[in-house]
Amino acid sequence: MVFSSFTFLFLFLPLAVLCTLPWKKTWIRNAVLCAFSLFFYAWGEPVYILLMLMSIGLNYEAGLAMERWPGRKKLILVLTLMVNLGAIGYFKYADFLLTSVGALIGRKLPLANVALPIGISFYTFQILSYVIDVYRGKHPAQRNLLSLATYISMFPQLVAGPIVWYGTVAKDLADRKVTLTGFADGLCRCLFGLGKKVLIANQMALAADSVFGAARPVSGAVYWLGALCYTLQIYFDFSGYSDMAIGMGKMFGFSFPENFRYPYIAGSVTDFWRRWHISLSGWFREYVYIPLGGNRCGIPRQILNMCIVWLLTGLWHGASWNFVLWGAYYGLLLILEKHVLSGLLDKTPKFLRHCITLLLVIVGWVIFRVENAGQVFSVLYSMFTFSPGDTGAWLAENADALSPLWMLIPGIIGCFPLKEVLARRFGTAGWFTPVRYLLAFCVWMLSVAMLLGESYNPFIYFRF
Amino acid sequence: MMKHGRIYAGLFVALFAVSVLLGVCSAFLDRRKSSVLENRTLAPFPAAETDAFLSGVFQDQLEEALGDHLTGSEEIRSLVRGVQASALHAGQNILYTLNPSLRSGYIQLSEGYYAYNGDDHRIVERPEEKPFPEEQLAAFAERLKQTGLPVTLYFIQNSRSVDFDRPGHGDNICNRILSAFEGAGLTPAACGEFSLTDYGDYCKWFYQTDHHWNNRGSYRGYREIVELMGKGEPLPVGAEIAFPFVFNGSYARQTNRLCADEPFRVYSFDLPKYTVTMNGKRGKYGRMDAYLKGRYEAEPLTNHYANCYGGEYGEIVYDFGTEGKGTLLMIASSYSNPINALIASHFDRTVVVDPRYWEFWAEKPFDPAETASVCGADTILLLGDIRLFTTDLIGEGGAD
Repeated sequence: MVFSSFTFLFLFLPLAVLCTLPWKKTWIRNAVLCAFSLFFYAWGEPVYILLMLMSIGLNYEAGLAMERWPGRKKLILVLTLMVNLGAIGYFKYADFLLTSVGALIGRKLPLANVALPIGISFYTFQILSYVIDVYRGKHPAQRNLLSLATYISMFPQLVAGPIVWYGTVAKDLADRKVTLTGFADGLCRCLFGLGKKVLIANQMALAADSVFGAARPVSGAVYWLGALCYTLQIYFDFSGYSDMAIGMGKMFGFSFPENFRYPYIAGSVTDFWRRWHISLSGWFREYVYIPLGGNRCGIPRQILNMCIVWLLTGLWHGASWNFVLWGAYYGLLLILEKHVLSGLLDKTPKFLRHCITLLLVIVGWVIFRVENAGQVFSVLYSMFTFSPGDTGAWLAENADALSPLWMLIPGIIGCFPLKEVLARRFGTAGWFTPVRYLLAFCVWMLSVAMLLGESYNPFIYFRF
Repeated sequence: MMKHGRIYAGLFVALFAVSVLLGVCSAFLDRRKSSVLENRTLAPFPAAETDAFLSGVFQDQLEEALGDHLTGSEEIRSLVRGVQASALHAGQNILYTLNPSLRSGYIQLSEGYYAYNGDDHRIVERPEEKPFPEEQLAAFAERLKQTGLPVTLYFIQNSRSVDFDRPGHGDNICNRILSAFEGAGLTPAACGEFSLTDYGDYCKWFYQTDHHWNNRGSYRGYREIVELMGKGEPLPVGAEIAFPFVFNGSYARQTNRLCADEPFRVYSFDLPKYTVTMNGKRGKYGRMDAYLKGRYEAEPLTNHYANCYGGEYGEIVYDFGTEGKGTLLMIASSYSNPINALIASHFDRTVVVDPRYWEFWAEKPFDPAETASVCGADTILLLGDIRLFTTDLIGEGGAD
């Protein structure tokens, strides 16, 4: 069930709110929320609900066992990591591995052909944060199975993040309050998120898909247009979904971390990754980069650590060579930025830095979007050699690409922190809050209208 | 301020709750089965069954039903499409202002389907740039030549062969067919063309959302064929009947864009008595009589062209029980369906072969010489659009 579906918006969410919030006791709220979350998961993957339940049970026992036998907690951690990573490895990477090995040895190996459980990459990382933190003694193991099940399966962030570390919501799981203004603010954020997804991302998807899905190669300029549209699509799609998750979390009394902070105004690639999918980059920093030694070692080791982190980041996004390439691309850029170009970057005018960063990010999204590693280079070659083509004629003939282009304007404006500027300037004015609510309601109505009128409603991060 | 904040929050939440409640109630209380505005059946709410849930079918059907039954869903859909069409036209105008040489009437609606000149009531195709199968067509002509019978060729221009942006563009196709035939040593006894002057002319003879010619187009074709073959006067039209439903043709079904306002029209004729055998079985071809008595499918996406005029068969034999008018072997695509009987009325016996469906019925490839000999044909007519000549006759055709 995607957040931008009628079933979710008109049935599931209202029912979940109505059944959860009237209870005063937190454990009952947790129980109801957990039941709804499991139903939410079963809606999309009825069979894999067993996998989810097994995962909850195993990690619950693992947490308790680490406290019960402190001398063996390393062994317990290793075993738990092996099982969790083994599951994600099997479901997500088995076929990729078999195909790659087959290509290497020149034989076609039989594939596992298993469907990817929805959100496995997200909830596995949440589980790992829990068991690692219990191992590190950062917080005690959760003794209440229901609380842990609620944390792991919570539907707002179950399928597309943000990746909520256990420590962030541990207190909320034990005791939380929902106020009317908090609920309204959460709802408001959720509706704006829906608008980002439906009004902008879906439109940009139409244009981007007609460029990258064209039967014949198109001209360089058309690829640039497609790349720009995809750049906006992926941002509004994913950040819209994150906004909905954070807003819904607030409606149920949870404080989820921010996942995006206007990444396209970043002044460097390092800055971009501090603003894009913050919960994922934070997770890799905390649980991979720092344990590997982080910055506290020599430069060659630092470079190796970065290579490992970015290889894993690429693979986390998908089992395909273009994602590995995409991870390697960012790894290389970050290594260059940190160890070679840092002095030069400081001297570069701010505006130019922004432009270069944006250009590098757009190229990164092309690698991410094209999906066929072999094709990536021909598309990039076409883009950078400005291969001649009938750009205008192509646009004139492709309604799917032309009509959504109007949404480039609000899309580009939406990449800037206009909301924050307005909040700073007028946040204390009496009219600001009602106008914000009214605007959110208009966005809700427009989004429903667009969902009714358009059947195209893809969701990029759903497959992770 | 704090107090006001709570009031605003309460109002906002209440407003949202009312909108959701209205939506849900209207959806579940809605008893409509079809949409008048969109002219289609609405998705029904599914029954809750375990198997359907486990396979995900229940989830998909519920989503579809909710979308169809929400308050004002039809009006909203229509409004959204209108806004999108305006956005498209505005975008095109900017593009044409920036580069006038780009000005084209075609705008793609979906892969292979276009609107022309901003006419969003009508869906058209566009000629594909692909090599003309001269050699394969010549090979077919060789087999046709073996019959030793006079051959009449009638080529139908339509949006698959005429580029409306380039006047005269489709004119050479008939010549290329002729040259392929003549290359094989077969000179047709007569050759005619259902020609189109421009888009306006096309609109006159073809359906808004179907690839076939309409009743006026097919009657014009019939008259021209009869004249071409020198078979006397064409049968006069009895009356034109417009059925009280909108006709959604193949383009509407393939693009999911429904026709706005074109009723299904037919001509009635006073035909002499005849018998029909379809794939070896006696029966009635088409359901024109039932239609004229008001008995037809009410489903919006019904294929009225096939239902009313008749569907596809490998072989249809018309026997008028007369003598002295000869036997015709007509090799044709579905364009002939409305005029099969009309043409056949000028002969004693007519055998209509659709090469796409012949092999399925006869269980052997279509051989014009063998068929002509078996049915005792005196003359042969080839009737169809570009697909007949570039795919169907050379064994590459499929359902159309």
